[in-house]
Amino acid sequence: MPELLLSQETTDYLARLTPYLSHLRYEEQAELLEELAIHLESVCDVAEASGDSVVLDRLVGSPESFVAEYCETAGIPFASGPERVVAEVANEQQTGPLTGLLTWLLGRLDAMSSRVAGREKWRAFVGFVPELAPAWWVARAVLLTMVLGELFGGDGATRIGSIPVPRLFGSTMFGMVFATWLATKSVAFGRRKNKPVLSSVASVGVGAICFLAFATIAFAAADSHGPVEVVYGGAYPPIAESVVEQGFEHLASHDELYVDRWDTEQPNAMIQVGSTLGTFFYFDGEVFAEDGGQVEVPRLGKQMGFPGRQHHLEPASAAVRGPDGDWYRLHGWFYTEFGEPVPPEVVTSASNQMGS
Amino acid sequence: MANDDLDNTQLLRGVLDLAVLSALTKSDGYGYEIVRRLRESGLEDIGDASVYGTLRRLYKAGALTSYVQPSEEGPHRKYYGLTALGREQYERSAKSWMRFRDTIDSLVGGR
Repeated sequence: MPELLLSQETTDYLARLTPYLSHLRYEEQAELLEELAIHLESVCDVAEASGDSVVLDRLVGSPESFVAEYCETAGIPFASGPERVVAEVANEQQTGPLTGLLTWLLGRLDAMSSRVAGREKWRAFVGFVPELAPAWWVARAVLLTMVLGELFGGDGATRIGSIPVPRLFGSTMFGMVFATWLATKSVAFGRRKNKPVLSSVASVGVGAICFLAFATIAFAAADSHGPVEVVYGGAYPPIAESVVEQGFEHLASHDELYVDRWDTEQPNAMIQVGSTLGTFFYFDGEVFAEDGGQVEVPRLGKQMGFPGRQHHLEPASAAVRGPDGDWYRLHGWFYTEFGEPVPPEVVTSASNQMGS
Repeated sequence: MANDDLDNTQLLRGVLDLAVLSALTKSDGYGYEIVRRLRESGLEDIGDASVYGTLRRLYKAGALTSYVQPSEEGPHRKYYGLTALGREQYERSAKSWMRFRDTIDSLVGGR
């Protein structure tokens, strides 16, 4: 299958035409551009063969007029860019300082966008962005699941290792299954070819949800400070307070125990199910750490439903040996790495076993 | 003359669908080929964009089907062909056009 090598004339023309297609769906843009590329090459070939100068603006009209004519005959609206918005605002809202300011701002934006749109790097970027569409189709499903989890389960995301994963109704497993199902729907929706599925009102709704999703991620990112050097202040300082003040994630040098850094108000200890923690001990009644022994965190029954967080559980205290060899107190709620709460009686039972 | 060109353009707007459907009655074709058929038929003023816009609208309406035809000599091309619905539309439009043409002919001839 021979590849189509586009002439410079065709490449330039399509680059100038593409911004006028921005109101069309990506698939439609891609199909039209592909079809036009072949068409324009034929036009160039014929012009060259007949000895004419190859000036596509003269042969088929300017890119703007081409798209305007295409849209008119195709029966779809033509958006010529910010200058049209300015004109519509001026016509519809008549006069007034707010309208004047808006018109001026849009005019500035128009001038700026025209300068940027004319640059080669920008055109290359615009041409590349649609390639990322499938990634966005999956990402929006995950983000939407996180938002739903935040709304209905209190915590829309957790971490497995260093990877954030969605939670729904307090369950990471349910969140991941739902996100996977939603991703398949999202991809199918993104690849639809025929009539637009959503009305303009629904499109706004989807846009708002996406905005909320991005906001959720942005806030989560703002809350995460990343691992920093641990500075211990003395004997048994409350680890929870240390987390709030210092923002570090890992309490100790091993991977089995860490603090959920997404919630700095009430840090939660995350324990890997089935793991043996050689440096993990629980407090006794005198607030002294039990020394020695090992604790195996049992596999817990699946707890799903709403609410899924610590509302029905009491906080528990535990001690952790820091990398400097000293003991530090942790007071809070204990969760498995799947986000399921560890009941206090499990803590007590483990503590009794250690003490015996 | 400029006025004649304007008239032709205005006249063409009303029969673009019929013109494009007519170009596909004998055989399927791709965009550039359809433009060429129309121009060789005497519609020299027809715009490239108008043909592509009309193709898009007729395709969306179900009057046309499309498929990609591999080519040994060049890039793969997107071909358009009439569907059963498109053929019905063509026959109805052709009859309407001929009635309209006869009416105008009688008006012009009766002067």
